[in-house]
Amino acid sequence: MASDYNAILDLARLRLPGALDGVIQLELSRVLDDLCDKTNAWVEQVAFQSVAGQYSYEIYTVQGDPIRLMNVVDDLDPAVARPWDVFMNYPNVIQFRTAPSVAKTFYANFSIMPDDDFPVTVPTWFWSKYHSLILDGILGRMMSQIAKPYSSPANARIHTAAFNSGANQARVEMLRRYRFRGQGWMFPQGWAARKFSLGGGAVNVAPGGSTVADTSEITVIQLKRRLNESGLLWTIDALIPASPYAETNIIWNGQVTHKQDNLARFIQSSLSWSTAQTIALYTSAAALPGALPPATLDTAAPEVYIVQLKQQLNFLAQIEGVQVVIPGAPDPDVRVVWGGVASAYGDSLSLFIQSTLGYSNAQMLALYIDAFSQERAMPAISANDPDAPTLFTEQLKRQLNVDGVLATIAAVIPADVTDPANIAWTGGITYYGDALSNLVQTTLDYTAAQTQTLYYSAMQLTR
Amino acid sequence: MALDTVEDYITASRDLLQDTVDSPYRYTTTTLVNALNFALLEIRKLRPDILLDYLTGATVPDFTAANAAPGQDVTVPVDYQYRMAVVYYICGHAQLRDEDNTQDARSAAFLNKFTSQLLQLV
Repeated sequence: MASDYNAILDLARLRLPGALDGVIQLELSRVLDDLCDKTNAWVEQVAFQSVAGQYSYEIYTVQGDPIRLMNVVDDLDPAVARPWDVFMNYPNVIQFRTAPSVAKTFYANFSIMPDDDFPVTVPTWFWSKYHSLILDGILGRMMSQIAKPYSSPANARIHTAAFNSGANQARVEMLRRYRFRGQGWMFPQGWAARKFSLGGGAVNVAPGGSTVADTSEITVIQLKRRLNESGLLWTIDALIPASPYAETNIIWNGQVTHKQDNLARFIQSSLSWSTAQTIALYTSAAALPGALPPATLDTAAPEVYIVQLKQQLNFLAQIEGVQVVIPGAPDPDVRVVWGGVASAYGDSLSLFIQSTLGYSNAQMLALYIDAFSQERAMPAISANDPDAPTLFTEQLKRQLNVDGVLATIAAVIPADVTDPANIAWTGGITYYGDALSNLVQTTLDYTAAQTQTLYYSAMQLTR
Repeated sequence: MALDTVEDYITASRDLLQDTVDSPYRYTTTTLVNALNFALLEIRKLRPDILLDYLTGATVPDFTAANAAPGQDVTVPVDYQYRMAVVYYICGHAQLRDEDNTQDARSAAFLNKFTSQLLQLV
């Protein structure tokens, strides 16, 4: 380790004339902190013994300081290990949402960063694997200092950008556990951003125009499933039709280089695949089921509750236009089958959501983790807002009656239709904090668009 | 001599000041040691990283003429890359007290050299 550590310092000294060793080493520590924080590349597993009925445990990492809790499992054998619903209120103190009923050994995986030891200590492989990345981080930080012989804002930007880019790549590598094709290529982030704007079943068209049409070839859902199985959906989903509900097939004539086959050409070029590889993708996709998997719910599963998931999806619908309707009433006691990994096979609901939204595994994981923080209880109805200018209880009830869903929703909205007070609604169902809208949407399994239509229709009715 | 101690700095400064014969010295040791102390104050402002160990809870080192006596071996905590700059400051500060034009220009040259060595590559 020492030689690599010194090699990096030597390279930094060469490129930073006039720099002091102590300052380089200080910045090196910050770079390593930043690298660990951005990538979760350094994970330490700590075993601990649970006590029946005890929620909270104080656990200390040995090699470094904890950044975040990755997960807690009850066995080292991945075939039988179950992730537990645990969170960390503050470093070193973890808390079970449901206390273990028996004493047993658990294994907590922490993402960690170097402690305050000097010189800084990280795993040996860090120095070789992230050699250039660490150097870029040091140079970027050092050159951004003011009034030094080595100050260079222009070069600081270059090295900082290189560090950030490398850290992103390292993060993805870590997510894929360093598998081949885990990171041979990264799609430009401008495209990745389009994943967040999917909605309304719109077809995303990449430059040159990816096309879909009804031919005898594979369906959108087959292609998405196949890409998802390979862990590649996230890299390409902005280029293929957003909604797997689409019955349309994809133009493909067996030759991915066919001049009309724009979508296949985009996939091939984006993934840097050979023609043979792309043909194999399409061929194997054709063997997959063409229909969406039925979403299943499991009352015994220990993870996120359906209410929490629905509320999180509603929240995303409000801020990002995410459109997904998951089946099943929002029974507060129903949990979602989820093995801790969003892409777990057999988790048909996860696959359903992932396929529909074109989410990466990381995005799915984030969705579920965010859902944990949602309330399990149904949202409370917000107080009537006398300042709301438009919609009244009676109008909403009338519209619900027209839609034939009044019986479903009546119990959760104000009973008195003669109540002249307005419903707290600012004219757009995307208003955050509109508990009644959220409740209606959650209860009825409405998409954002459906709820918006409901409200607008209701406004047209007489009071 | 690698400019490690207070004595080294005073000796090197006397060379540039052409004040090497004690009959007596034109610039007293106290004057030059004070200039060394002032140099450290300037460094604390311009390049605090050079005095990294003195940023929290400790004042900038302050030396006396006694520290410059032969054999005292009192170390000046400045990285070797910036030791010549300190010598230039001592010389420039010493010559500030002279009044003729030649000395003024020389003093300014030393002090400018001190600043540029701290902040620039050349």
